[in-house]
Amino acid sequence: MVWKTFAWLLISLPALAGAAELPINTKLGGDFELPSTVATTSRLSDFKGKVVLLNFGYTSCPDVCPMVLNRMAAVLNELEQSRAQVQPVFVTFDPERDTVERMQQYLNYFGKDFVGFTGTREQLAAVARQYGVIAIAQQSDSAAGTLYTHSDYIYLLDQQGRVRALFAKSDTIDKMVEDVESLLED
Amino acid sequence: MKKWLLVLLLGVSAPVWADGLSVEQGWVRLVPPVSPNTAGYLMLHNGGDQNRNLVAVKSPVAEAVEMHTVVEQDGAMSMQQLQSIAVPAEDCVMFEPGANHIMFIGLKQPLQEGDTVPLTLIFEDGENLSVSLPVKRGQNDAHQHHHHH
Repeated sequence: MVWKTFAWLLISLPALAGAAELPINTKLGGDFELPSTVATTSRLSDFKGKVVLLNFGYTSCPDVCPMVLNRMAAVLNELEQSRAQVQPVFVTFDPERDTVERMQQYLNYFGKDFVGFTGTREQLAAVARQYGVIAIAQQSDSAAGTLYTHSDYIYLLDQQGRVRALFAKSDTIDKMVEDVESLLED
Repeated sequence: MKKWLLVLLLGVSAPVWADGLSVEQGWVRLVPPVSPNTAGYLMLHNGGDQNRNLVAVKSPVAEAVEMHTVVEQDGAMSMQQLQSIAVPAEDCVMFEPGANHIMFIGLKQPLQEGDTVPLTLIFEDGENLSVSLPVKRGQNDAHQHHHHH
Protein backbone atom coordinates (compact mmCIF):
# COMPACT_ATOMS: atom_id res chain seq x y z
CA MET A 1 0.00 0.00 0.00
CA VAL A 2 2.72 2.38 1.03
CA TRP A 3 4.84 1.63 -2.01
CA LYS A 4 1.82 2.13 -4.24
CA THR A 5 1.30 5.61 -2.82
CA PHE A 6 4.99 6.26 -3.26
CA ALA A 7 4.92 5.11 -6.87
CA TRP A 8 1.88 7.27 -7.53
CA LEU A 9 3.69 10.27 -6.07
CA LEU A 10 6.71 9.65 -8.27
CA ILE A 11 4.55 9.44 -11.37
CA SER A 12 2.52 12.51 -10.53
CA LEU A 13 5.32 14.68 -9.19
CA PRO A 14 6.27 16.25 -12.52
CA ALA A 15 2.62 17.14 -13.16
CA LEU A 16 2.23 18.51 -9.65
CA ALA A 17 5.41 20.54 -10.04
CA GLY A 18 4.09 22.02 -13.30
CA ALA A 19 0.81 22.99 -11.68
CA ALA A 20 2.49 24.36 -8.58
CA GLU A 21 4.46 26.85 -10.67
CA LEU A 22 1.23 28.48 -11.75
CA PRO A 23 -0.90 28.98 -8.67
CA ILE A 24 -4.60 29.61 -9.13
CA ASN A 25 -5.34 33.31 -8.78
CA THR A 26 -8.43 33.40 -6.58
CA LYS A 27 -8.81 37.20 -6.63
CA LEU A 28 -9.18 37.75 -10.36
CA GLY A 29 -11.27 36.28 -13.11
CA GLY A 30 -14.65 34.74 -13.68
CA ASP A 31 -17.10 34.10 -16.45
CA PHE A 32 -18.87 36.75 -18.51
CA GLU A 33 -21.44 36.88 -21.29
CA LEU A 34 -21.12 39.55 -23.99
CA PRO A 35 -21.70 40.18 -27.69
CA SER A 36 -18.82 38.53 -29.53
CA THR A 37 -17.25 38.21 -32.95
CA VAL A 38 -18.49 34.60 -33.24
CA ALA A 39 -22.07 34.81 -31.96
CA THR A 40 -24.72 37.31 -30.89
CA THR A 41 -23.54 36.61 -27.37
CA SER A 42 -20.86 34.26 -26.15
CA ARG A 43 -19.65 33.28 -22.73
CA LEU A 44 -16.01 32.99 -21.80
CA SER A 45 -16.97 29.57 -20.40
CA ASP A 46 -17.85 28.47 -23.97
CA PHE A 47 -14.10 27.89 -24.23
CA LYS A 48 -13.92 25.61 -21.19
CA GLY A 49 -11.57 22.74 -21.92
CA LYS A 50 -9.17 25.06 -23.72
CA VAL A 51 -6.38 27.14 -22.31
CA VAL A 52 -7.25 30.82 -22.86
CA LEU A 53 -4.96 33.77 -23.56
CA LEU A 54 -6.99 36.86 -22.68
CA ASN A 55 -6.17 40.50 -23.30
CA PHE A 56 -8.02 43.81 -22.94
CA GLY A 57 -7.50 46.77 -25.29
CA TYR A 58 -9.00 48.85 -28.09
CA THR A 59 -8.56 48.80 -31.84
CA SER A 60 -7.70 52.51 -32.18
CA CYS A 61 -4.68 51.98 -29.93
CA PRO A 62 -1.67 52.75 -32.13
CA ASP A 63 1.18 51.31 -30.11
CA VAL A 64 0.60 49.16 -27.02
CA CYS A 65 -2.41 47.01 -28.05
CA PRO A 66 -1.10 45.85 -31.44
CA MET A 67 2.20 45.10 -29.75
CA VAL A 68 0.51 42.92 -27.10
CA LEU A 69 -1.68 41.17 -29.70
CA ASN A 70 1.43 40.48 -31.80
CA ARG A 71 2.94 38.87 -28.71
CA MET A 72 -0.15 36.69 -28.25
CA ALA A 73 0.03 35.69 -31.93
CA ALA A 74 3.73 34.89 -31.53
CA VAL A 75 2.96 32.52 -28.63
CA LEU A 76 0.24 30.77 -30.64
CA ASN A 77 2.51 30.42 -33.65
CA GLU A 78 5.07 28.64 -31.49
CA LEU A 79 2.53 26.04 -30.39
CA GLU A 80 1.94 24.37 -33.78
CA GLN A 81 -0.17 21.22 -33.15
CA SER A 82 -1.44 22.25 -29.72
CA ARG A 83 -2.63 25.64 -31.03
CA ALA A 84 -6.18 24.28 -31.40
CA GLN A 85 -6.23 23.70 -27.63
CA VAL A 86 -5.53 27.38 -26.93
CA GLN A 87 -8.11 30.12 -27.41
CA PRO A 88 -7.00 33.73 -27.93
CA VAL A 89 -9.56 36.24 -26.59
CA PHE A 90 -9.63 40.04 -26.83
CA VAL A 91 -12.03 42.22 -24.85
CA THR A 92 -12.38 45.88 -25.77
CA PHE A 93 -12.97 48.68 -23.32
CA ASP A 94 -13.92 51.10 -26.12
CA PRO A 95 -17.46 50.06 -27.14
CA GLU A 96 -18.27 53.32 -28.98
CA ARG A 97 -15.64 52.67 -31.63
CA ASP A 98 -15.19 48.90 -31.36
CA THR A 99 -18.20 47.34 -33.03
CA VAL A 100 -18.34 43.58 -33.53
CA GLU A 101 -17.69 44.07 -37.25
CA ARG A 102 -14.65 46.24 -36.71
CA MET A 103 -13.24 43.82 -34.14
CA GLN A 104 -13.73 40.88 -36.53
CA GLN A 105 -11.64 42.62 -39.18
CA TYR A 106 -9.08 43.79 -36.66
CA LEU A 107 -8.57 40.43 -34.93
CA ASN A 108 -8.51 38.45 -38.16
CA TYR A 109 -5.18 40.10 -38.89
CA PHE A 110 -3.62 38.59 -35.76
CA GLY A 111 -5.13 35.14 -36.30
CA LYS A 112 -8.34 33.62 -37.62
CA ASP A 113 -8.95 31.96 -34.23
CA PHE A 114 -8.98 35.24 -32.23
CA VAL A 115 -12.36 35.94 -30.62
CA GLY A 116 -13.37 39.45 -29.62
CA PHE A 117 -15.92 40.62 -27.04
CA THR A 118 -17.61 43.99 -26.81
CA GLY A 119 -20.71 45.25 -25.00
CA THR A 120 -22.11 48.27 -23.27
CA ARG A 121 -19.77 50.50 -21.32
CA GLU A 122 -21.30 49.14 -18.07
CA GLN A 123 -20.90 45.50 -19.10
CA LEU A 124 -17.29 46.03 -20.13
CA ALA A 125 -16.50 47.95 -16.95
CA ALA A 126 -17.86 45.02 -14.92
CA VAL A 127 -15.64 42.53 -16.76
CA ALA A 128 -12.64 44.84 -16.41
CA ARG A 129 -13.29 44.94 -12.65
CA GLN A 130 -13.42 41.12 -12.50
CA TYR A 131 -9.97 40.96 -14.02
CA GLY A 132 -8.47 44.00 -12.30
CA VAL A 133 -8.05 45.80 -15.61
CA ILE A 134 -7.31 49.51 -15.52
CA ALA A 135 -8.85 51.43 -18.45
CA ILE A 136 -9.33 55.16 -18.09
CA ALA A 137 -10.51 57.25 -21.03
CA GLN A 138 -8.15 60.14 -21.34
CA GLN A 139 -9.17 63.43 -22.90
CA SER A 140 -6.36 65.14 -24.73
CA ASP A 141 -5.68 67.67 -27.45
CA SER A 142 -4.49 64.82 -29.65
CA ALA A 143 -6.16 64.34 -33.03
CA ALA A 144 -6.54 60.69 -32.00
CA GLY A 145 -9.47 61.67 -29.79
CA THR A 146 -10.00 59.43 -26.80
CA LEU A 147 -6.93 57.48 -25.81
CA TYR A 148 -6.88 55.14 -22.85
CA THR A 149 -4.57 54.83 -19.92
CA HIS A 150 -4.68 51.10 -19.49
CA SER A 151 -3.04 48.00 -18.12
CA ASP A 152 -1.81 45.58 -20.75
CA TYR A 153 -1.41 42.16 -19.15
CA ILE A 154 -2.04 38.94 -21.03
CA TYR A 155 -4.06 36.64 -18.75
CA LEU A 156 -3.41 32.92 -18.89
CA LEU A 157 -6.54 30.92 -18.01
CA ASP A 158 -6.56 27.19 -17.53
CA GLN A 159 -9.08 24.74 -19.00
CA GLN A 160 -11.50 25.55 -16.16
CA GLY A 161 -11.30 29.28 -16.82
CA ARG A 162 -9.21 30.02 -13.73
CA VAL A 163 -6.52 32.74 -13.92
CA ARG A 164 -3.13 31.07 -13.64
CA ALA A 165 -0.73 33.82 -14.74
CA LEU A 166 -0.53 37.44 -15.81
CA PHE A 167 2.12 38.17 -18.42
CA ALA A 168 3.74 41.58 -18.57
CA LYS A 169 5.75 42.99 -21.45
CA SER A 170 8.93 41.86 -19.73
CA ASP A 171 7.89 38.20 -20.06
CA THR A 172 9.48 36.55 -23.06
CA ILE A 173 7.56 34.61 -25.70
CA ASP A 174 9.45 31.49 -24.58
CA LYS A 175 8.29 31.92 -21.00
CA MET A 176 4.66 32.34 -22.10
CA VAL A 177 4.87 29.29 -24.37
CA GLU A 178 6.37 27.27 -21.51
CA ASP A 179 3.53 28.23 -19.16
CA VAL A 180 0.85 27.50 -21.77
CA GLU A 181 2.41 24.11 -22.41
CA SER A 182 2.58 23.32 -18.69
CA LEU A 183 -1.21 23.80 -18.53
CA LEU A 184 -1.72 21.66 -21.62
CA GLU A 185 0.27 18.88 -19.98
CA ASP A 186 -1.70 18.99 -16.70
CA MET B 1 32.39 53.94 -29.05
CA LYS B 2 28.94 55.33 -29.42
CA LYS B 3 26.42 52.68 -30.35
CA TRP B 4 25.25 54.63 -33.39
CA LEU B 5 28.77 54.80 -34.76
CA LEU B 6 29.00 51.06 -34.47
CA VAL B 7 25.71 50.71 -36.33
CA LEU B 8 27.03 52.98 -39.08
CA LEU B 9 30.29 51.06 -39.37
CA LEU B 10 28.43 47.78 -39.60
CA GLY B 11 26.29 49.28 -42.34
CA VAL B 12 23.09 47.91 -40.81
CA SER B 13 20.98 50.53 -42.50
CA ALA B 14 21.59 53.55 -44.67
CA PRO B 15 21.36 56.70 -42.60
CA VAL B 16 19.84 59.91 -43.85
CA TRP B 17 21.83 62.99 -42.99
CA ALA B 18 20.89 66.61 -42.56
CA ASP B 19 23.45 68.72 -40.88
CA GLY B 20 24.58 66.10 -38.42
CA LEU B 21 21.08 64.67 -37.99
CA SER B 22 20.35 61.15 -39.09
CA VAL B 23 17.66 58.55 -38.82
CA GLU B 24 18.17 54.81 -38.75
CA GLN B 25 16.18 51.65 -38.24
CA GLY B 26 12.94 53.45 -38.91
CA TRP B 27 9.74 51.51 -39.52
CA VAL B 28 5.98 51.94 -39.37
CA ARG B 29 3.81 49.31 -37.75
CA LEU B 30 1.63 47.30 -40.12
CA VAL B 31 -1.85 47.33 -38.58
CA PRO B 32 -5.11 45.69 -39.64
CA PRO B 33 -6.73 47.64 -42.52
CA VAL B 34 -9.64 48.59 -40.25
CA SER B 35 -7.32 50.30 -37.76
CA PRO B 36 -7.34 54.09 -38.23
CA ASN B 37 -4.06 54.71 -36.43
CA THR B 38 -0.58 53.32 -36.33
CA ALA B 39 2.83 54.14 -34.92
CA GLY B 40 6.30 54.73 -36.34
CA TYR B 41 9.63 54.07 -34.71
CA LEU B 42 13.19 55.17 -35.38
CA MET B 43 16.53 56.09 -33.92
CA LEU B 44 17.22 59.80 -34.30
CA HIS B 45 20.87 60.79 -33.99
CA ASN B 46 22.33 64.18 -33.58
CA GLY B 47 25.95 63.89 -34.65
CA GLY B 48 26.40 67.65 -34.69
CA ASP B 49 27.63 69.88 -31.90
CA GLN B 50 24.33 71.80 -31.58
CA ASN B 51 21.49 70.70 -29.35
CA ARG B 52 18.33 70.18 -31.38
CA ASN B 53 14.69 70.24 -30.53
CA LEU B 54 12.26 68.16 -32.56
CA VAL B 55 9.00 70.14 -32.58
CA ALA B 56 6.81 68.53 -35.26
CA VAL B 57 6.45 65.53 -37.55
CA LYS B 58 4.54 65.49 -40.84
CA SER B 59 3.46 62.84 -43.29
CA PRO B 60 0.98 62.79 -46.17
CA VAL B 61 -0.33 59.31 -45.24
CA ALA B 62 -2.38 60.42 -42.23
CA GLU B 63 -4.73 63.22 -41.26
CA ALA B 64 -2.48 64.08 -38.35
CA VAL B 65 0.95 63.03 -37.13
CA GLU B 66 1.96 63.53 -33.54
CA MET B 67 4.70 62.57 -31.11
CA HIS B 68 3.61 60.55 -28.12
CA THR B 69 5.22 58.68 -25.33
CA VAL B 70 3.97 55.86 -23.14
CA VAL B 71 4.37 56.34 -19.42
CA GLU B 72 3.91 53.40 -17.11
CA GLN B 73 2.24 54.30 -13.86
CA ASP B 74 0.81 51.91 -11.26
CA GLY B 75 0.67 49.07 -13.77
CA ALA B 76 -1.14 51.08 -16.44
CA MET B 77 0.25 52.49 -19.65
CA SER B 78 -0.59 56.12 -20.25
CA MET B 79 -0.22 57.82 -23.61
CA GLN B 80 1.07 61.36 -23.45
CA GLN B 81 1.45 63.72 -26.35
CA LEU B 82 4.84 65.41 -26.66
CA GLN B 83 5.09 68.94 -28.03
CA SER B 84 8.83 68.62 -28.48
CA ILE B 85 11.69 66.24 -27.91
CA ALA B 86 15.21 67.40 -27.11
CA VAL B 87 17.96 65.74 -29.12
CA PRO B 88 21.20 66.82 -27.44
CA ALA B 89 24.40 67.20 -29.45
CA GLU B 90 26.21 63.94 -30.07
CA ASP B 91 23.37 61.95 -28.64
CA CYS B 92 20.40 60.01 -29.88
CA VAL B 93 16.70 59.61 -29.11
CA MET B 94 14.85 56.33 -29.49
CA PHE B 95 11.32 55.94 -30.75
CA GLU B 96 10.33 52.36 -29.96
CA PRO B 97 7.28 50.23 -29.10
CA GLY B 98 5.88 50.97 -25.67
CA ALA B 99 7.84 54.22 -25.37
CA ASN B 100 8.31 57.33 -27.56
CA HIS B 101 6.56 56.87 -30.87
CA ILE B 102 5.32 58.78 -33.88
CA MET B 103 1.56 58.44 -34.05
CA PHE B 104 -0.11 58.42 -37.45
CA ILE B 105 -3.75 59.34 -36.83
CA GLY B 106 -6.48 58.81 -39.40
CA LEU B 107 -4.65 56.86 -42.08
CA LYS B 108 -5.92 58.05 -45.47
CA GLN B 109 -5.70 54.50 -46.79
CA PRO B 110 -4.59 51.22 -45.23
CA LEU B 111 -0.83 50.71 -45.32
CA GLN B 112 0.52 47.51 -46.85
CA GLU B 113 3.60 45.59 -45.85
CA GLY B 114 6.48 46.88 -47.95
CA ASP B 115 4.99 50.37 -48.48
CA THR B 116 7.21 53.28 -47.56
CA VAL B 117 5.90 56.16 -45.53
CA PRO B 118 7.40 59.61 -46.11
CA LEU B 119 8.03 61.44 -42.86
CA THR B 120 9.43 64.92 -42.28
CA LEU B 121 10.97 65.78 -38.94
CA ILE B 122 10.85 69.48 -38.19
CA PHE B 123 13.26 71.03 -35.72
CA GLU B 124 12.91 74.23 -33.77
CA ASP B 125 15.77 75.93 -35.62
CA GLY B 126 13.97 75.41 -38.94
CA GLU B 127 16.00 72.38 -39.97
CA ASN B 128 13.95 69.68 -41.71
CA LEU B 129 14.85 66.04 -42.14
CA SER B 130 12.87 63.97 -44.64
CA VAL B 131 12.99 60.20 -44.39
CA SER B 132 11.15 57.20 -45.77
CA LEU B 133 10.07 54.49 -43.35
CA PRO B 134 9.18 50.97 -44.47
CA VAL B 135 5.92 49.41 -43.27
CA LYS B 136 6.65 46.21 -41.35
CA ARG B 137 4.98 43.68 -39.13
CA GLY B 138 5.89 44.22 -35.48
CA GLN B 139 8.20 41.23 -35.24
CA ASN B 140 10.39 43.12 -32.79
CA ASP B 141 7.53 43.05 -30.29
CA ALA B 142 8.49 39.52 -29.41
CA HIS B 143 11.84 40.59 -28.07
CA GLN B 144 11.38 44.04 -26.60
CA HIS B 145 14.90 45.41 -26.72
CA HIS B 146 15.24 48.47 -24.61
CA HIS B 147 18.05 50.83 -25.33
CA HIS B 148 19.34 53.02 -22.61
CA HIS B 149 21.70 55.84 -23.29
